[in-house]
Order: sequence, then structure tokens, then C-alpha cells
Amino acid sequence: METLFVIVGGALGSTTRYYLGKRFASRHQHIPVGTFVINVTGAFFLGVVTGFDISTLLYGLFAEGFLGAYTTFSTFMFEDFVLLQNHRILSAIIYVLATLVLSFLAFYGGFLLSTTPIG
Amino acid sequence: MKKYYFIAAGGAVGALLRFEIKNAPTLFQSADQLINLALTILVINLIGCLILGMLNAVFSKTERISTDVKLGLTVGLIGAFTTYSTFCKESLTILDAGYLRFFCYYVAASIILGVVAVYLGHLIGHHIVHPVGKNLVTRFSIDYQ
Repeated sequence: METLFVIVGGALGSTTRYYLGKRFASRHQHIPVGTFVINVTGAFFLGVVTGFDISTLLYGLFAEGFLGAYTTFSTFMFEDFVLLQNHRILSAIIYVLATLVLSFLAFYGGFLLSTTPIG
Repeated sequence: MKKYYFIAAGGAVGALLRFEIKNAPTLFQSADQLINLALTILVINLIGCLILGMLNAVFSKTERISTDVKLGLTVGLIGAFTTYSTFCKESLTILDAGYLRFFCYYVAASIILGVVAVYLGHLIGHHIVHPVGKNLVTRFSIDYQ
């Protein structure tokens, strides 16, 4: 049953990434903003989901399925490879560092947000 | 619209494969479960980087495969198979458990090996499209001129 939830989440997550990625992609040339925004927001929401005490099925749907497929490591690395190949060394380094630092902060922020009691 | 069905299908399979590999108990067997899980995610991501580098090199040179199928395999299958959010979570879980040095090595290794894996995949893909034998023939003829 959990497998089914992961499959559904994966299908929705990957199509959402493609849709949002295309919307961001055309406006910026030096840094791949689409994947950057996707990975940072995905980390934030995984932080939120991790903080909540949800069932295995829902974790399978949202975390393993949707957010797992929404965020991507391979495209992140491929884009960095292309930056290096085009001798944009500084852009390649900034892209990696910005993604790492902001996504770690975003995950932690999301986790705090969902574990801190309101009021 | 049709391409979204291909991406969704690829993404469903990619997420399922990642989930099954992640839950396979035999991949790493160190004493600490946290480290086993983090290393499993690293292996999944590196395999994905290698295959994406290869596919993109092959697909950029061939028009026989439709754009829908290409997107389904790259954006869908490999995009969903690899994951950034879980990488993030496992990195921070390791840090939270007090493994500061392992955290630093893990993050650095993921990035450096990730780019290297894409590059290796790119080389493999390039050789699939332009076989070595063919390249050698071309080079020979240039040398003789």
C-alpha cells in the first residue's frame, strides 16, 4: 500500500518540477534558478513533513514520493557540470554553495516551524 | 500535454526504484543505521548522475527518439530516482547525531562525486554515439592528410 502512495507522489512530484522549472528557466542564464528554487523549497517542505508526526502512508506520499521526486540531485549536478564545461567556474561554485546553505537552513526552518507549538 | 504523461510515468517508476533500494537492508552494514541510510542515498544519487550524463549526451545527438520519451527518462525517471530533499534530511540528521566530520565529508563527496559521475556518464554517452573505432578512422584520415 505504501508503495502505491510513493508511486502517486512520484508522478505528481516530477511533473510539478518540470512545470515550475520551465516557468523559472527562461528568465535567468547564469544560475539555473529553476532547480535552485525547487530544491530549496523541497527541502523546506521535507523539514515541515519531518516535524509532523504523520503516518507511514502519508510520509510515503508526501516525503518519499512527492518531495523525493520534486527535488532532484541529478539535474542539480548536471547543471553544475554544464556551468563548469562553459568555464563559468564562479557560477558553478556559487550555485552549489547557495543551494547547500539555503536548503539546509530551509529544512531546519521548516522542521522548527512544524515542531514549535503555536501560542 | 502528452509529455506530462511521460514525465509522470517516469517519475512514478523512478520514485518507486529509489524507495525500494532505500529499503533494501543489505547494501551497507555499518553499525550505525544513520550512516547506512546516508550512504545508500549517496549511491542512488551517483547512479542517477552517471545515467543522466550518459542519456543527455546520447539524446543531444539523436533525433530518432521522441522528445516525450527523452523527457520521460531524464526529467521523469532519473529526476525522480535521485533526490535532493532526502539528501538534505540525511545530511542534517548526521550532523544532529554529532558526526561533524562525517557530515563534511558526506556533503563534499556528494557534490564532487556527483559532478564526476555526470562527467563519466557524459563520456560514456559520447562513446555510444561516436564509437571509438569510428573516431579513430576519422583521426587517421586527418593525420594522413
